Amino acid sequence: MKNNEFEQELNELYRQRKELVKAPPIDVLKSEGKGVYVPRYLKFAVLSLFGGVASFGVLALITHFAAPKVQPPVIDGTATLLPVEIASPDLDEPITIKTSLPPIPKIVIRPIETRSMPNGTEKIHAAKDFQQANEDINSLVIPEVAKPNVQQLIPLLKVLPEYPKSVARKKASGVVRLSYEVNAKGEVINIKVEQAQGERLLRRAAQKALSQWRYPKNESSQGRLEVLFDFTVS
Amino acid sequence: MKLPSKIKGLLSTGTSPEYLWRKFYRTRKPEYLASLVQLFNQPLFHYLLTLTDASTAEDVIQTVWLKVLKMDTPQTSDIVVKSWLFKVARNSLIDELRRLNRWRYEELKEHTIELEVPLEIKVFDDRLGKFNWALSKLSFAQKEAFIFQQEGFSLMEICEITDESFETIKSRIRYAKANLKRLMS
Repeated sequence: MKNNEFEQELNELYRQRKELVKAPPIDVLKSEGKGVYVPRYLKFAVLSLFGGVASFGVLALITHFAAPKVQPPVIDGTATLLPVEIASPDLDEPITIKTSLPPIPKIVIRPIETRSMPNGTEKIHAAKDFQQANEDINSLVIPEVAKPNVQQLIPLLKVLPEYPKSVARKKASGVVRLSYEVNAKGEVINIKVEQAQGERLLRRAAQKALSQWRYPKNESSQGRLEVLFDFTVS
Repeated sequence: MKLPSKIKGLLSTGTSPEYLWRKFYRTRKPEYLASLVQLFNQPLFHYLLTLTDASTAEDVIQTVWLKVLKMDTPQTSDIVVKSWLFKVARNSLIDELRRLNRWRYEELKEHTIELEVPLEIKVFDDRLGKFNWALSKLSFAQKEAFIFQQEGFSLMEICEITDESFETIKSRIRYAKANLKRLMS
C-alpha cells in the first residue's frame, strides 16, 4: 500500500517536474522548415532538363553557323541558274558547235638533212615529191560550208534520275537514251525511249527525271532533242 | 506488444505520430516534422536535461531533430515513433557525451551498487524540490530507466531502446525507486 502511494507520488512529481521544463525552440524547423524541400529525383530531372536544353542550344548554334545557305531554286526568274550535278561524263561534255572550219595549218617543209646514207639519192627524190604534193594542198579551195542549224538549248534545271534501290542492290547498270521535245513553256514533252539497255526501272527513272527538266520559256525546240543516261554502279 | 500499437495507428490515422512520421518521410514536408516536434520535443528535452546539463541537452535536442530531418527514408514502416525518437535521442546523447569525454561506460553498467546517502542533509520545503534533488543523485542508468518508465514505455520497450536485458531493466527501475524513496524520506 505504501509502495503504491509512493508510486503515485512519484508520477505526480514527475509530471510536475516535466511541466516546469521548457524545451528550447528547434533551429532545424526555423532554418530548414521554411525552405522548400526538393526531392532528389526532382533535382535530377531539373538538372538533366537544363543539360538537354543547353546541349540543344549549343548544337543548334553550331548547325546554324555551319550549314551553307540554301537558296530556293528560281526557275522562271532571270536571276539564278542552279548548279547542276551531272551523273555521267556523257552529260558533262558541253555541246559546242563549230561554225567555221579551223584554219589549215601551214606545213613547213624543212630541208631534209642529208646524211651519209647508203641510198641518199632515192630519199631526196621522195622528198621532192612530197613538197609537190603539199603545194597542191595549199592551193586547194575549200567550199563554203553551210552553217548547221542547231539550236543550243541549255536546260535551266536538270534533274538526275534516282537510281532505283532494287537495281542498285543488284548492281545492274544500263544505258537509256531518250528523245524529247521542249514546248513554249519550257517543259519537256513527248519523251520517247530510243534505246534502253538493262532494267526497265532504269527507263522509268530516266523518264521521270527528264520530265522534270526545265528550259527557258519561249524557246521551244525545233526538232527532237536527245539525252543519254548512263547508269553505272561503281 | 506490436499489435495494440498497430490497431491504435489504424484507429486514429489522422493524428497519430506514426502517421505523421510516415507522411513526413514520404513527402518530406516540414509541417509533418513540425507536428512531431510539437508532440515529442518536451519529453525528449526533459529526458536529456535529466541525464545531462542544460547546455548539452540543448545541443543534443537540436542534433536529434536534425538527424530526424536528414535521415534517409527508413525501410521499415511499422515502428513506434515515440520509442524510435527516444532511441535516436539516447544515441545522440551518448555520442555527444563521448565527444566530450564525459562518458564512462561502467557508469551505465553499475546498477546494483546501492547509492550512499550523502552526508550533507538537504532540507527542502516542498516535495518537488526534494524529488528533483533525489533524481539528480541517481546513476545514469537508473535515471534513464526511471524516466522511460515514467514516460509510459513498457519494460520490453525500454529493453529495446537501451539494448539491455529484461532483468537488468527491471532491477534498474527497482533500485531507482528504492533510492528515490530513501533519499526523499
